Amino acid sequence: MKGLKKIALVAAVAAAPFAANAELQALNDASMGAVTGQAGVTIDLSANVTIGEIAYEDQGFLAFSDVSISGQGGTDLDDIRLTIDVAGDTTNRDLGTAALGATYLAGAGFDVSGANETAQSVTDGDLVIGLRSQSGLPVDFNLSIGEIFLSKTGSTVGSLQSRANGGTGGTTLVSDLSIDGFLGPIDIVINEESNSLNVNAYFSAEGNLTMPFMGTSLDFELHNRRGATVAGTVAGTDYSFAHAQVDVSVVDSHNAGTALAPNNISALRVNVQDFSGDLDLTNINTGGTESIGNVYMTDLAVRADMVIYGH
Amino acid sequence: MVSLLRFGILATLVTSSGGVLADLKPVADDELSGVVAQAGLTVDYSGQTTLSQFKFENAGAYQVDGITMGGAGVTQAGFSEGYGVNFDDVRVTFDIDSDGVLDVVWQPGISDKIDWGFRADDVTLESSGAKKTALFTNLEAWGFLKEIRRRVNPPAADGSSQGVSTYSEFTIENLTAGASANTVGIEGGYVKGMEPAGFAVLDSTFRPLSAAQSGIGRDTVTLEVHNFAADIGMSNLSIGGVGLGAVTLDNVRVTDTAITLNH
Repeated sequence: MKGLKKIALVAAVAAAPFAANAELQALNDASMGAVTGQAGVTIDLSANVTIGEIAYEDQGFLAFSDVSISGQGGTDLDDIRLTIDVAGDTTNRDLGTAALGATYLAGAGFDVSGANETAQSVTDGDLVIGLRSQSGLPVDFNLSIGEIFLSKTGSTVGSLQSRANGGTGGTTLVSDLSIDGFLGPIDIVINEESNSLNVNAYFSAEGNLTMPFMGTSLDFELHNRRGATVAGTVAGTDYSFAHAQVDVSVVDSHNAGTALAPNNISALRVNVQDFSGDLDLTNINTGGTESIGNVYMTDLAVRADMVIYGH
Repeated sequence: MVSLLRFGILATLVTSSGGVLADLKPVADDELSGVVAQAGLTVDYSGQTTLSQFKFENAGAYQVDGITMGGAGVTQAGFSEGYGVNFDDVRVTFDIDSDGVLDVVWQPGISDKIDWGFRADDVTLESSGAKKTALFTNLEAWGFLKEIRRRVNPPAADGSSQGVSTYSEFTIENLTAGASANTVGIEGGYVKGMEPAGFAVLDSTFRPLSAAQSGIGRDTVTLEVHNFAADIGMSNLSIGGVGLGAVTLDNVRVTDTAITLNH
Protein backbone atom coordinates (compact mmCIF):
# COMPACT_ATOMS: atom_id res chain seq x y z
CA MET A 1 0.00 0.00 0.00
CA LYS A 2 2.78 2.37 0.86
CA GLY A 3 4.32 1.78 -2.55
CA LEU A 4 1.15 2.72 -4.38
CA LYS A 5 0.64 5.87 -2.36
CA LYS A 6 4.21 6.92 -2.98
CA ILE A 7 3.76 6.51 -6.72
CA ALA A 8 0.66 8.66 -6.74
CA LEU A 9 2.05 11.34 -4.49
CA VAL A 10 5.36 11.52 -6.32
CA ALA A 11 3.54 11.77 -9.64
CA ALA A 12 1.26 14.46 -8.35
CA VAL A 13 4.09 16.52 -6.91
CA ALA A 14 6.20 16.07 -10.02
CA ALA A 15 3.34 17.13 -12.24
CA ALA A 16 2.58 20.26 -10.30
CA PRO A 17 3.93 23.42 -11.88
CA PHE A 18 5.43 25.88 -9.50
CA ALA A 19 2.12 27.14 -8.29
CA ALA A 20 1.56 30.79 -7.52
CA ASN A 21 2.58 31.53 -3.98
CA ALA A 22 1.78 35.22 -3.95
CA GLU A 23 -0.35 36.94 -1.36
CA LEU A 24 -0.15 34.26 1.27
CA GLN A 25 -1.79 35.51 4.43
CA ALA A 26 -1.80 34.05 7.92
CA LEU A 27 -5.04 32.47 9.06
CA ASN A 28 -6.40 33.47 12.40
CA ASP A 29 -7.82 30.91 14.80
CA ALA A 30 -11.39 31.54 13.76
CA SER A 31 -10.74 30.92 10.10
CA MET A 32 -8.56 27.91 10.93
CA GLY A 33 -11.46 26.39 12.78
CA ALA A 34 -13.60 26.43 9.66
CA VAL A 35 -10.99 24.59 7.60
CA THR A 36 -11.06 21.31 9.47
CA GLY A 37 -11.90 18.35 7.24
CA GLN A 38 -11.80 20.39 4.04
CA ALA A 39 -8.23 19.63 3.04
CA GLY A 40 -7.13 18.34 -0.33
CA VAL A 41 -5.01 19.47 -3.24
CA THR A 42 -6.17 20.89 -6.55
CA ILE A 43 -3.67 21.27 -9.40
CA ASP A 44 -4.52 23.14 -12.58
CA LEU A 45 -2.09 21.80 -15.15
CA SER A 46 -0.76 22.86 -18.53
CA ALA A 47 2.10 20.89 -20.06
CA ASN A 48 3.91 19.93 -23.22
CA VAL A 49 6.09 16.83 -22.95
CA THR A 50 8.65 15.53 -25.42
CA ILE A 51 10.92 12.52 -24.97
CA GLY A 52 13.64 11.78 -27.47
CA GLU A 53 13.92 8.09 -26.71
CA ILE A 54 12.43 5.47 -24.40
CA ALA A 55 14.33 2.18 -24.42
CA TYR A 56 13.26 -1.08 -22.79
CA GLU A 57 16.19 -3.49 -22.51
CA ASP A 58 15.74 -7.24 -22.46
CA GLN A 59 18.78 -8.72 -24.19
CA GLY A 60 18.12 -6.51 -27.18
CA PHE A 61 16.07 -3.32 -27.02
CA LEU A 62 12.53 -2.18 -27.71
CA ALA A 63 12.77 1.55 -28.37
CA PHE A 64 10.28 4.40 -28.73
CA SER A 65 11.64 7.51 -30.44
CA ASP A 66 10.38 11.07 -30.70
CA VAL A 67 7.56 10.73 -28.18
CA SER A 68 5.45 13.80 -27.51
CA ILE A 69 2.37 14.46 -25.40
CA SER A 70 0.52 17.69 -26.00
CA GLY A 71 -2.84 19.14 -26.88
CA GLN A 72 -4.30 18.68 -30.34
CA GLY A 73 -2.79 20.75 -33.16
CA GLY A 74 0.52 21.31 -31.38
CA THR A 75 -1.04 23.24 -28.52
CA ASP A 76 -0.23 22.62 -24.88
CA LEU A 77 -1.93 19.85 -22.98
CA ASP A 78 -3.97 22.18 -20.84
CA ASP A 79 -7.35 22.75 -19.20
CA ILE A 80 -6.54 19.89 -16.81
CA ARG A 81 -7.62 19.97 -13.19
CA LEU A 82 -6.28 17.31 -10.83
CA THR A 83 -7.77 16.85 -7.40
CA ILE A 84 -6.03 14.78 -4.75
CA ASP A 85 -7.78 13.80 -1.54
CA VAL A 86 -7.39 11.31 1.26
CA ALA A 87 -10.97 10.34 1.97
CA GLY A 88 -12.36 10.53 5.48
CA ASP A 89 -15.21 8.48 6.83
CA THR A 90 -18.68 9.01 5.43
CA THR A 91 -19.44 11.80 7.92
CA ASN A 92 -16.30 13.73 7.04
CA ARG A 93 -15.80 13.19 3.31
CA ASP A 94 -14.89 16.19 1.21
CA LEU A 95 -13.55 15.10 -2.16
CA GLY A 96 -12.42 17.58 -4.77
CA THR A 97 -14.66 15.84 -7.29
CA ALA A 98 -18.35 15.93 -6.53
CA ALA A 99 -18.96 12.62 -8.30
CA LEU A 100 -16.92 9.85 -9.91
CA GLY A 101 -17.00 8.24 -13.36
CA ALA A 102 -20.37 7.74 -15.00
CA THR A 103 -22.17 9.67 -12.27
CA TYR A 104 -20.05 12.72 -13.06
CA LEU A 105 -20.66 12.29 -16.82
CA ALA A 106 -24.41 11.93 -16.32
CA GLY A 107 -24.42 15.12 -14.26
CA ALA A 108 -22.66 16.86 -17.14
CA GLY A 109 -25.43 15.85 -19.54
CA PHE A 110 -23.83 12.80 -21.14
CA ASP A 111 -25.77 9.66 -22.01
CA VAL A 112 -24.19 6.88 -19.97
CA SER A 113 -27.03 4.39 -20.17
CA GLY A 114 -24.72 1.76 -21.68
CA ALA A 115 -21.69 2.36 -19.51
CA ASN A 116 -20.39 -0.89 -18.05
CA GLU A 117 -18.80 0.58 -14.96
CA THR A 118 -18.11 -1.00 -11.58
CA ALA A 119 -18.79 1.65 -8.95
CA GLN A 120 -15.53 2.63 -7.29
CA SER A 121 -15.66 2.06 -3.56
CA VAL A 122 -14.16 4.90 -1.51
CA THR A 123 -13.53 4.14 2.15
CA ASP A 124 -11.86 5.96 5.01
CA GLY A 125 -8.18 6.53 4.30
CA ASP A 126 -8.31 5.88 0.53
CA LEU A 127 -6.36 8.18 -1.76
CA VAL A 128 -8.64 9.58 -4.48
CA ILE A 129 -7.18 11.29 -7.56
CA GLY A 130 -9.55 12.83 -10.08
CA LEU A 131 -8.77 14.27 -13.50
CA ARG A 132 -11.27 16.77 -14.84
CA SER A 133 -11.12 19.82 -17.07
CA GLN A 134 -11.19 23.35 -15.78
CA SER A 135 -13.65 24.42 -18.46
CA GLY A 136 -16.10 21.53 -18.08
CA LEU A 137 -15.37 20.36 -21.62
CA PRO A 138 -13.40 17.20 -22.37
CA VAL A 139 -9.62 17.67 -22.41
CA ASP A 140 -8.07 17.42 -25.87
CA PHE A 141 -4.74 15.60 -26.21
CA ASN A 142 -2.26 14.33 -28.76
CA LEU A 143 0.19 11.46 -28.38
CA SER A 144 2.78 11.07 -31.12
CA ILE A 145 5.52 8.48 -31.49
CA GLY A 146 8.01 8.68 -34.34
CA GLU A 147 9.00 5.01 -34.33
CA ILE A 148 8.73 1.87 -32.23
CA PHE A 149 11.54 -0.47 -33.20
CA LEU A 150 13.76 -3.34 -32.11
CA SER A 151 17.50 -3.11 -31.72
CA LYS A 152 20.40 -5.44 -31.00
CA THR A 153 22.25 -5.83 -27.73
CA GLY A 154 25.21 -3.49 -27.42
CA SER A 155 23.33 -0.61 -29.03
CA THR A 156 23.96 2.76 -27.45
CA VAL A 157 21.12 3.94 -25.24
CA GLY A 158 20.20 7.49 -26.19
CA SER A 159 21.33 6.99 -29.78
CA LEU A 160 19.16 4.09 -30.88
CA GLN A 161 17.94 4.42 -34.46
CA SER A 162 16.03 1.99 -36.60
CA ARG A 163 17.49 0.61 -39.82
CA ALA A 164 14.71 2.34 -41.72
CA ASN A 165 15.78 5.65 -40.18
CA GLY A 166 19.41 5.27 -41.19
CA GLY A 167 20.62 3.65 -37.97
CA THR A 168 21.96 0.24 -37.11
CA GLY A 169 18.84 -0.88 -35.24
CA GLY A 170 16.50 -3.63 -36.28
CA THR A 171 12.92 -4.01 -37.39
CA THR A 172 10.54 -1.06 -37.21
CA LEU A 173 7.25 -2.21 -35.70
CA VAL A 174 5.35 1.09 -35.85
CA SER A 175 6.10 4.43 -37.42
CA ASP A 176 4.32 7.78 -37.59
CA LEU A 177 1.85 6.98 -34.81
CA SER A 178 -0.31 10.00 -34.05
CA ILE A 179 -3.31 9.88 -31.73
CA ASP A 180 -5.71 12.78 -31.18
CA GLY A 181 -8.33 12.32 -28.55
CA PHE A 182 -10.37 13.61 -25.66
CA LEU A 183 -10.22 12.74 -21.99
CA GLY A 184 -13.42 12.48 -19.99
CA PRO A 185 -13.32 11.92 -16.26
CA ILE A 186 -10.48 9.74 -15.01
CA ASP A 187 -10.64 8.61 -11.38
CA ILE A 188 -8.00 6.69 -9.46
CA VAL A 189 -8.79 5.20 -6.07
CA ILE A 190 -5.91 3.72 -4.09
CA ASN A 191 -7.24 1.51 -1.37
CA GLU A 192 -5.89 2.13 2.10
CA GLU A 193 -6.36 -1.43 3.31
CA SER A 194 -5.10 -3.52 0.41
CA ASN A 195 -2.37 -3.46 -2.18
CA SER A 196 -4.65 -2.25 -4.95
CA LEU A 197 -5.64 0.72 -7.03
CA ASN A 198 -8.60 1.12 -9.35
CA VAL A 199 -8.47 3.27 -12.48
CA ASN A 200 -11.74 4.27 -14.15
CA ALA A 201 -11.31 6.25 -17.37
CA TYR A 202 -13.45 7.65 -20.17
CA PHE A 203 -11.63 8.71 -23.32
CA SER A 204 -11.68 8.75 -27.12
CA ALA A 205 -8.85 8.37 -29.62
CA GLU A 206 -8.35 8.63 -33.35
CA GLY A 207 -5.30 8.69 -35.55
CA ASN A 208 -3.15 6.72 -37.89
CA LEU A 209 -0.17 4.40 -37.83
CA THR A 210 2.10 2.49 -40.14
CA MET A 211 3.47 -0.99 -39.40
CA PRO A 212 6.43 -1.35 -41.78
CA PHE A 213 7.20 -4.93 -40.72
CA MET A 214 3.70 -5.92 -41.87
CA GLY A 215 3.61 -3.60 -44.88
CA THR A 216 0.38 -2.21 -43.47
CA SER A 217 -0.96 1.22 -42.57
CA LEU A 218 -4.37 2.29 -41.34
CA ASP A 219 -6.45 4.97 -39.69
CA PHE A 220 -8.31 4.18 -36.47
CA GLU A 221 -10.93 5.65 -34.19
CA LEU A 222 -12.00 4.40 -30.77
CA HIS A 223 -15.34 5.84 -29.66
CA ASN A 224 -18.75 4.71 -28.42
CA ARG A 225 -21.36 6.12 -30.75
CA ARG A 226 -22.80 2.92 -32.25
CA GLY A 227 -24.63 -0.16 -31.16
CA ALA A 228 -26.72 -1.19 -28.22
CA THR A 229 -24.28 0.14 -25.64
CA VAL A 230 -23.71 3.85 -26.08
CA ALA A 231 -21.70 5.60 -23.40
CA GLY A 232 -20.30 9.04 -22.98
CA THR A 233 -22.18 10.74 -25.76
CA VAL A 234 -23.93 14.05 -25.51
CA ALA A 235 -26.47 15.46 -27.93
CA GLY A 236 -25.26 18.18 -30.25
CA THR A 237 -21.58 17.30 -29.98
CA ASP A 238 -19.13 14.76 -31.41
CA TYR A 239 -17.97 13.70 -27.96
CA SER A 240 -18.14 9.99 -27.37
CA PHE A 241 -16.06 8.04 -24.88
CA ALA A 242 -14.76 4.52 -24.78
CA HIS A 243 -14.42 3.15 -21.26
CA ALA A 244 -11.60 1.38 -19.48
CA GLN A 245 -11.61 0.25 -15.87
CA VAL A 246 -8.63 -1.57 -14.47
CA ASP A 247 -7.89 -2.92 -11.01
CA VAL A 248 -4.17 -3.18 -10.28
CA SER A 249 -2.96 -5.17 -7.29
CA VAL A 250 -0.16 -7.33 -6.02
CA VAL A 251 -0.19 -11.11 -5.98
CA ASP A 252 2.12 -12.23 -3.20
CA SER A 253 2.17 -15.96 -3.95
CA HIS A 254 1.52 -16.43 -7.65
CA ASN A 255 1.60 -20.08 -8.73
CA ALA A 256 1.96 -21.19 -5.12
CA GLY A 257 1.17 -24.86 -4.77
CA THR A 258 1.59 -25.57 -8.47
CA ALA A 259 4.31 -27.17 -10.51
CA LEU A 260 4.61 -24.02 -12.59
CA ALA A 261 7.92 -22.25 -12.63
CA PRO A 262 8.52 -19.68 -11.36
CA ASN A 263 6.13 -20.32 -8.50
CA ASN A 264 5.19 -18.62 -5.25
CA ILE A 265 6.42 -15.27 -6.54
CA SER A 266 5.27 -11.69 -6.09
CA ALA A 267 3.67 -10.42 -9.27
CA LEU A 268 1.55 -7.59 -10.61
CA ARG A 269 -2.10 -8.41 -11.24
CA VAL A 270 -3.97 -6.31 -13.79
CA ASN A 271 -7.67 -7.08 -13.85
CA VAL A 272 -9.32 -5.40 -16.84
CA GLN A 273 -12.85 -5.11 -15.44
CA ASP A 274 -14.06 -3.48 -18.64
CA PHE A 275 -12.64 -2.18 -21.88
CA SER A 276 -15.47 -1.22 -24.15
CA GLY A 277 -16.17 0.94 -27.14
CA ASP A 278 -16.53 0.93 -30.91
CA LEU A 279 -13.35 0.54 -32.95
CA ASP A 280 -13.06 1.62 -36.58
CA LEU A 281 -10.05 0.61 -38.70
CA THR A 282 -10.28 2.51 -41.95
CA ASN A 283 -8.18 3.04 -45.07
CA ILE A 284 -6.41 -0.24 -44.38
CA ASN A 285 -3.54 -0.39 -46.80
CA THR A 286 -1.53 -3.59 -47.14
CA GLY A 287 1.49 -3.14 -49.35
CA GLY A 288 0.09 -1.18 -52.23
CA THR A 289 -1.39 2.26 -52.46
CA GLU A 290 -5.05 1.22 -52.60
CA SER A 291 -7.10 0.56 -49.49
CA ILE A 292 -8.38 -3.00 -49.11
CA GLY A 293 -11.37 -1.68 -47.18
CA ASN A 294 -12.55 -0.71 -43.72
CA VAL A 295 -13.32 -2.70 -40.56
CA TYR A 296 -15.95 -1.58 -38.06
CA MET A 297 -16.24 -3.25 -34.66
CA THR A 298 -19.33 -2.33 -32.68
CA ASP A 299 -19.76 -2.82 -28.93
CA LEU A 300 -16.34 -4.34 -28.45
CA ALA A 301 -16.07 -5.46 -24.83
CA VAL A 302 -13.05 -7.10 -23.26
CA ARG A 303 -12.66 -8.58 -19.79
CA ALA A 304 -9.25 -9.94 -18.92
CA ASP A 305 -7.36 -10.93 -15.82
CA MET A 306 -3.57 -10.83 -16.19
CA VAL A 307 -0.70 -11.59 -13.84
CA ILE A 308 2.53 -9.99 -15.04
CA TYR A 309 6.06 -10.81 -13.91
CA GLY A 310 9.60 -11.11 -15.17
CA HIS A 311 11.30 -14.32 -16.15
CA MET B 1 4.54 -6.13 -3.91
CA VAL B 2 8.10 -6.10 -5.11
CA SER B 3 7.05 -4.87 -8.56
CA LEU B 4 5.09 -1.95 -7.23
CA LEU B 5 7.81 -0.99 -4.84
CA ARG B 6 10.27 -1.03 -7.72
CA PHE B 7 7.93 1.21 -9.71
CA GLY B 8 7.66 3.56 -6.78
CA ILE B 9 11.41 3.68 -6.42
CA LEU B 10 11.80 4.26 -10.16
CA ALA B 11 9.30 7.12 -10.09
CA THR B 12 11.13 8.64 -7.17
CA LEU B 13 14.44 8.40 -8.96
CA VAL B 14 13.05 9.86 -12.17
CA THR B 15 11.53 12.83 -10.42
CA SER B 16 14.45 13.59 -8.14
CA SER B 17 16.53 16.06 -10.10
CA GLY B 18 20.15 15.99 -9.14
CA GLY B 19 19.59 13.16 -6.69
CA VAL B 20 22.23 11.81 -4.40
CA LEU B 21 24.75 9.84 -6.45
CA ALA B 22 27.41 9.28 -3.82
CA ASP B 23 28.79 5.89 -2.94
CA LEU B 24 28.26 4.35 -6.37
CA LYS B 25 30.52 1.34 -6.80
CA PRO B 26 31.45 -0.49 -9.99
CA VAL B 27 29.95 -3.95 -10.45
CA ALA B 28 32.52 -6.69 -10.66
CA ASP B 29 32.67 -8.92 -13.74
CA ASP B 30 31.60 -12.01 -11.86
CA GLU B 31 28.54 -10.16 -10.57
CA LEU B 32 27.65 -8.98 -14.08
CA SER B 33 27.79 -12.49 -15.48
CA GLY B 34 24.85 -13.47 -13.32
CA VAL B 35 22.68 -10.75 -14.84
CA VAL B 36 22.75 -11.83 -18.49
CA ALA B 37 19.55 -13.23 -20.05
CA GLN B 38 17.38 -12.74 -17.00
CA ALA B 39 15.01 -10.19 -18.52
CA GLY B 40 11.77 -10.81 -20.32
CA LEU B 41 8.09 -10.57 -19.54
CA THR B 42 5.51 -13.21 -18.72
CA VAL B 43 1.75 -12.60 -18.69
CA ASP B 44 -0.66 -15.20 -17.33
CA TYR B 45 -3.97 -14.41 -19.01
CA SER B 46 -7.64 -15.22 -18.59
CA GLY B 47 -10.43 -13.39 -20.37
CA GLN B 48 -13.33 -13.12 -22.78
CA THR B 49 -14.20 -10.75 -25.63
CA THR B 50 -17.62 -9.91 -27.01
CA LEU B 51 -18.50 -7.92 -30.08
CA SER B 52 -22.03 -7.13 -31.19
CA GLN B 53 -20.94 -6.62 -34.79
CA PHE B 54 -17.82 -7.03 -36.95
CA LYS B 55 -18.12 -5.49 -40.40
CA PHE B 56 -15.54 -5.52 -43.18
CA GLU B 57 -16.59 -3.04 -45.81
CA ASN B 58 -15.20 -2.72 -49.29
CA ALA B 59 -17.70 -2.06 -52.07
CA GLY B 60 -20.04 -4.50 -50.36
CA ALA B 61 -19.66 -5.81 -46.83
CA TYR B 62 -18.98 -9.00 -44.88
CA GLN B 63 -20.73 -8.88 -41.54
CA VAL B 64 -20.67 -11.05 -38.41
CA ASP B 65 -23.16 -10.33 -35.62
CA GLY B 66 -23.27 -11.46 -32.01
CA ILE B 67 -19.68 -12.59 -31.51
CA THR B 68 -18.33 -14.14 -28.31
CA MET B 69 -14.74 -15.36 -28.03
CA GLY B 70 -13.40 -17.12 -24.96
CA GLY B 71 -13.10 -20.65 -23.64
CA ALA B 72 -14.81 -23.67 -25.21
CA GLY B 73 -17.74 -23.09 -22.84
CA VAL B 74 -19.02 -20.19 -24.95
CA THR B 75 -20.36 -22.88 -27.32
CA GLN B 76 -23.15 -25.27 -26.40
CA ALA B 77 -21.05 -28.30 -27.32
CA GLY B 78 -18.04 -27.09 -25.36
CA PHE B 79 -20.14 -26.15 -22.35
CA SER B 80 -21.72 -29.59 -22.29
CA GLU B 81 -18.19 -31.05 -22.24
CA GLY B 82 -17.60 -29.11 -19.03
CA TYR B 83 -15.38 -26.29 -20.28
CA GLY B 84 -15.55 -22.73 -18.94
CA VAL B 85 -16.39 -19.54 -20.80
CA ASN B 86 -13.00 -17.85 -20.37
CA PHE B 87 -9.93 -18.27 -22.56
CA ASP B 88 -7.67 -19.08 -19.63
CA ASP B 89 -4.63 -20.98 -18.41
CA VAL B 90 -2.78 -18.96 -21.04
CA ARG B 91 0.86 -18.02 -20.52
CA VAL B 92 2.29 -15.44 -22.91
CA THR B 93 6.02 -14.66 -22.88
CA PHE B 94 7.75 -11.73 -24.55
CA ASP B 95 11.49 -11.80 -25.23
CA ILE B 96 13.88 -9.70 -27.29
CA ASP B 97 17.08 -11.57 -28.02
CA SER B 98 20.54 -10.16 -28.56
CA ASP B 99 19.91 -9.75 -32.32
CA GLY B 100 16.81 -7.65 -31.71
CA VAL B 101 14.43 -10.47 -32.59
CA LEU B 102 11.07 -10.29 -30.78
CA ASP B 103 9.50 -13.62 -29.80
CA VAL B 104 5.95 -13.83 -28.46
CA VAL B 105 4.92 -17.33 -27.37
CA TRP B 106 1.46 -18.48 -26.27
CA GLN B 107 1.43 -21.73 -24.33
CA PRO B 108 -0.72 -23.39 -21.68
CA GLY B 109 0.13 -22.72 -18.05
CA ILE B 110 -0.86 -25.74 -15.98
CA SER B 111 -2.53 -28.05 -18.50
CA ASP B 112 -1.09 -29.41 -21.74
CA LYS B 113 -3.48 -27.48 -24.01
CA ILE B 114 -5.75 -24.43 -23.93
CA ASP B 115 -9.42 -24.76 -24.78
CA TRP B 116 -10.91 -22.00 -26.94
CA GLY B 117 -14.36 -21.19 -28.22
CA PHE B 118 -16.06 -18.91 -30.71
CA ARG B 119 -19.68 -18.28 -31.48
CA ALA B 120 -21.57 -15.88 -33.75
CA ASP B 121 -25.27 -15.38 -34.26
CA ASP B 122 -25.18 -14.60 -38.00
CA VAL B 123 -22.72 -14.26 -40.85
CA THR B 124 -23.97 -12.32 -43.88
CA LEU B 125 -22.78 -10.75 -47.11
CA GLU B 126 -24.20 -7.40 -48.14
CA SER B 127 -24.07 -5.86 -51.58
CA SER B 128 -23.42 -2.20 -52.26
CA GLY B 129 -27.17 -2.05 -52.95
CA ALA B 130 -27.88 -3.29 -49.41
CA LYS B 131 -29.07 -6.73 -50.55
CA LYS B 132 -28.10 -9.34 -47.98
CA THR B 133 -27.21 -13.01 -48.28
CA ALA B 134 -27.08 -15.11 -45.14
CA LEU B 135 -24.12 -17.50 -45.04
CA PHE B 136 -24.26 -19.01 -41.57
CA THR B 137 -26.47 -18.80 -38.54
CA ASN B 138 -25.59 -19.92 -35.00
CA LEU B 139 -22.00 -20.57 -35.99
CA GLU B 140 -20.06 -22.23 -33.18
CA ALA B 141 -16.57 -23.68 -32.96
CA TRP B 142 -14.36 -24.90 -30.16
CA GLY B 143 -11.03 -26.62 -29.97
CA PHE B 144 -7.61 -26.70 -28.39
CA LEU B 145 -4.49 -24.61 -28.75
CA LYS B 146 -1.15 -26.18 -27.93
CA GLU B 147 1.05 -23.23 -28.82
CA ILE B 148 1.51 -20.18 -31.00
CA ARG B 149 5.03 -18.90 -31.64
CA ARG B 150 5.29 -15.52 -33.33
CA ARG B 151 8.66 -14.08 -34.31
CA VAL B 152 9.29 -10.59 -35.65
CA ASN B 153 12.24 -11.37 -37.89
CA PRO B 154 15.32 -9.14 -38.09
CA PRO B 155 15.66 -7.04 -41.24
CA ALA B 156 17.56 -8.39 -44.22
CA ALA B 157 21.06 -7.14 -44.98
CA ASP B 158 19.61 -4.48 -47.27
CA GLY B 159 17.35 -3.25 -44.45
CA SER B 160 14.10 -4.63 -45.89
CA SER B 161 11.61 -6.23 -43.52
CA GLN B 162 11.40 -10.01 -43.30
CA GLY B 163 8.00 -9.83 -41.64
CA VAL B 164 6.48 -12.03 -38.99
CA SER B 165 6.71 -15.80 -38.78
CA THR B 166 4.02 -17.78 -36.99
CA TYR B 167 4.06 -21.41 -35.95
CA SER B 168 0.91 -22.81 -34.37
CA GLU B 169 -0.47 -26.15 -33.26
CA PHE B 170 -4.23 -26.29 -32.77
CA THR B 171 -7.43 -28.23 -33.30
CA ILE B 172 -11.03 -27.45 -34.12
CA GLU B 173 -12.85 -30.20 -32.22
CA ASN B 174 -16.39 -29.28 -33.20
CA LEU B 175 -17.66 -26.78 -35.78
CA THR B 176 -21.39 -26.35 -36.24
CA ALA B 177 -23.68 -23.98 -38.10
CA GLY B 178 -27.44 -24.11 -38.04
CA ALA B 179 -29.16 -25.55 -41.12
CA SER B 180 -31.90 -23.38 -42.57
CA ALA B 181 -33.50 -22.65 -45.92
CA ASN B 182 -31.13 -19.74 -46.49
CA THR B 183 -27.79 -20.78 -45.01
CA VAL B 184 -24.96 -23.28 -45.13
CA GLY B 185 -25.32 -25.85 -42.34
CA ILE B 186 -22.41 -27.72 -40.78
CA GLU B 187 -22.46 -30.60 -38.32
CA GLY B 188 -19.46 -32.19 -36.66
CA GLY B 189 -16.80 -30.13 -38.42
CA TYR B 190 -13.20 -30.68 -37.35
CA VAL B 191 -9.59 -29.76 -38.11
CA LYS B 192 -7.14 -32.00 -36.29
CA GLY B 193 -3.66 -33.43 -36.50
CA MET B 194 -2.89 -36.47 -38.56
CA GLU B 195 -2.17 -38.59 -35.54
CA PRO B 196 -4.90 -39.56 -33.08
CA ALA B 197 -5.41 -36.69 -30.65
CA GLY B 198 -2.77 -34.75 -32.59
CA PHE B 199 -2.73 -31.10 -33.50
CA ALA B 200 -3.00 -29.47 -36.88
CA VAL B 201 0.13 -27.49 -37.77
CA LEU B 202 0.42 -24.13 -39.53
CA ASP B 203 3.86 -22.64 -40.19
CA SER B 204 3.78 -19.37 -42.15
CA THR B 205 5.41 -15.99 -42.72
CA PHE B 206 3.65 -12.74 -43.53
CA ARG B 207 5.92 -10.07 -44.96
CA PRO B 208 5.93 -7.00 -47.12
CA LEU B 209 7.46 -7.09 -50.60
CA SER B 210 9.01 -4.14 -52.35
CA ALA B 211 8.19 -3.40 -55.99
CA ALA B 212 11.49 -5.01 -57.00
CA GLN B 213 10.71 -8.16 -55.01
CA SER B 214 7.03 -8.58 -55.82
CA GLY B 215 7.17 -9.15 -59.56
CA ILE B 216 4.06 -7.02 -60.05
CA GLY B 217 5.82 -3.69 -60.18
CA ARG B 218 4.61 -2.29 -56.88
CA ASP B 219 4.81 -2.79 -53.16
CA THR B 220 2.57 -5.49 -51.75
CA VAL B 221 2.39 -8.17 -49.04
CA THR B 222 2.68 -11.94 -49.19
CA LEU B 223 1.69 -14.88 -46.99
CA GLU B 224 4.14 -17.75 -47.32
CA VAL B 225 2.75 -21.07 -46.09
CA HIS B 226 5.75 -23.20 -45.26
CA ASN B 227 3.73 -26.07 -43.90
CA PHE B 228 0.07 -26.78 -43.15
CA ALA B 229 -0.84 -30.30 -42.15
CA ALA B 230 -4.22 -31.53 -40.90
CA ASP B 231 -7.15 -33.85 -41.26
CA ILE B 232 -10.29 -31.88 -42.13
CA GLY B 233 -13.88 -33.02 -42.25
CA MET B 234 -17.49 -32.73 -41.19
CA SER B 235 -20.20 -35.28 -40.54
CA ASN B 236 -22.80 -33.40 -42.57
CA LEU B 237 -22.86 -30.40 -44.87
CA SER B 238 -26.16 -28.86 -45.94
CA ILE B 239 -27.06 -26.00 -48.23
CA GLY B 240 -30.48 -24.40 -48.02
CA GLY B 241 -31.49 -27.03 -45.50
CA VAL B 242 -30.73 -29.91 -47.88
CA GLY B 243 -28.12 -32.33 -46.56
CA LEU B 244 -25.22 -33.18 -48.89
CA GLY B 245 -23.58 -35.77 -46.64
CA ALA B 246 -20.22 -36.11 -44.94
CA VAL B 247 -16.96 -34.54 -46.11
CA THR B 248 -13.57 -36.04 -45.24
CA LEU B 249 -10.15 -34.73 -46.26
CA ASP B 250 -7.35 -36.86 -44.81
CA ASN B 251 -3.68 -35.94 -44.70
CA VAL B 252 -4.07 -32.46 -46.15
CA ARG B 253 -0.67 -30.86 -46.69
CA VAL B 254 0.17 -27.46 -48.10
CA THR B 255 3.85 -26.56 -48.43
CA ASP B 256 6.01 -23.95 -50.15
CA THR B 257 3.01 -21.85 -51.12
CA ALA B 258 3.00 -18.06 -51.42
CA ILE B 259 -0.16 -15.99 -51.60
CA THR B 260 0.62 -12.48 -52.82
CA LEU B 261 -1.89 -9.66 -52.69
CA ASN B 262 -2.33 -8.08 -56.13
CA HIS B 263 -4.88 -5.32 -56.28
